[in-house]
Amino acid sequence: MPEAPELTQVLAVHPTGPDEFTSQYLAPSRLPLFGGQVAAQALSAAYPTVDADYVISSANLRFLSGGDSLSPVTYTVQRQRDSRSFAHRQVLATQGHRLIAHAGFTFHVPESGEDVQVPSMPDAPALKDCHEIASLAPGFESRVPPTPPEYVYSPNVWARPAHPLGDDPRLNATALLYLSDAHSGIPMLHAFGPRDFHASLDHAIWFHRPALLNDWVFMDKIGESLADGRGWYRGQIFSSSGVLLASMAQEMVVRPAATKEVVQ
Amino acid sequence: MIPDPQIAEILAVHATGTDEFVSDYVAPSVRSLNGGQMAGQALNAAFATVGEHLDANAMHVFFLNAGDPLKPVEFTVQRDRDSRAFSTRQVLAHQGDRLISKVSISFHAPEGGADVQLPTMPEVEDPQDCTPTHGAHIAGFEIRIPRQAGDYLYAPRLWARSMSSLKNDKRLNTCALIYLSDLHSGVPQLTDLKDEDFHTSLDHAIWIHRTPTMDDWVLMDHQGESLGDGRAWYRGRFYGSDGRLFASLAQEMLVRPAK
Repeated sequence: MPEAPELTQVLAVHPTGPDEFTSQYLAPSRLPLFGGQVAAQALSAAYPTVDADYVISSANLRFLSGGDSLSPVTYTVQRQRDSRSFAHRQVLATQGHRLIAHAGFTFHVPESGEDVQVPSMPDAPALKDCHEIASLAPGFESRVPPTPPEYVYSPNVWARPAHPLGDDPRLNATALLYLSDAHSGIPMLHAFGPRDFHASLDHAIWFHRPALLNDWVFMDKIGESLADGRGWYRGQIFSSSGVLLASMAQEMVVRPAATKEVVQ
Repeated sequence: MIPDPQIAEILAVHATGTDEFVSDYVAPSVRSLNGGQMAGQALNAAFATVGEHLDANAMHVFFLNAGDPLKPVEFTVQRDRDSRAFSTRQVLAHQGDRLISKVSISFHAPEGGADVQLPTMPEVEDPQDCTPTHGAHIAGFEIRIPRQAGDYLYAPRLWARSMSSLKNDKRLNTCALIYLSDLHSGVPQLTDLKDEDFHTSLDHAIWIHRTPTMDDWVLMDHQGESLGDGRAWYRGRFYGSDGRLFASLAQEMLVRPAK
């Protein structure tokens, strides 16, 4: 396994102007820029613009063009709403003049009330029956159950930070967002080979309960539909004790290898 | 009795400038601006700015401030991306200086290929067998509530059909689906929601997998999944009467019990 980077380094951005930030972490080699990294760094940029009592409740990313993993990303935060209990931010992620993604983040001051969770932890394979893989979200340790050989990604994974992350709720939520774009439910739709072209179009996640990633979390993704070249899956992230931390959904473009072309 | 307006009239917008539009329809005497109506109009405005070959494949609506149902809505379309296969638009919905909503929409030139659907339509009564309902009113649609478990303020499952022909117009059918999609919710499955409790949509995400036909019966099937910190979350699916999965959706709502 390659040595895991510190998640705090991967997710960090530093201010370069009013409501403007730049990422520092560069991947060790040129790869398609990981969407989860853009999403999480965008959240790292949005968080300093909202008061301390606001927590992230949802994130919606739209990926507009491929990014370069060897160049930093600039994040521009637009303050679209500030009310007594909600804040909304839009973050534009650019490399040079290229808009690679935009993100919408809703922040909420938690209110007291009932806590109800309907889905229970799926029949998750025990950690001891899973094997370690090179994490698709560098900085995490990832273990997956035995997966059909034709699956490019395992639809489910156990993960935890490779280095202790501490208990800062914002950092933990940001790391969860980063992780959430790894893996995919599309292989369950049986129309996805190792050489086929695939790219995330969007990523939507709702944070139901505060996450602490000092223990393993289980991420379960379920492919549901493929048509007209677009695959769609939904997913859930559970704590090791079965608490539903987040729900998500993603659409991907999927093209057979023979007609591979760039999405732009 | 005044006849119900047709869906095409409800969702109509007209251009007032470059990439600027305003809604024409103002609902008579309702309590609040219908989020689905605003979203359907926003999609209609965005459609006017993209190539004819494109279908809408995904929308994410953030509801930012309550709208006034008695005033038209102004839509400003921002062109975020135009590539060969995709266009992306962001639509800002204003009433005067007030930003009521932000809508991000993705359009795609359909590519054909494999068609795979894993969820299957739940077994429910046919719409013809359901007792016509007087609740669940949404102008332009007929609604039927099939028998189902639970007795909720909003039934999580319902049939809907446009009362007017949508003339095989793909765009109008898609706008009609968006308009309908904010109706009912899965939240009553999570908590004993009462009419006097405050509840409002925070966001609304929908993915259109296959072009819908909304002048035939469609089944909406909502599933409440989580409630905590005052926020409720549900997901939902739209099926055609032949069982094809037209769309998947998710929504977060703010729920505050009446004091």
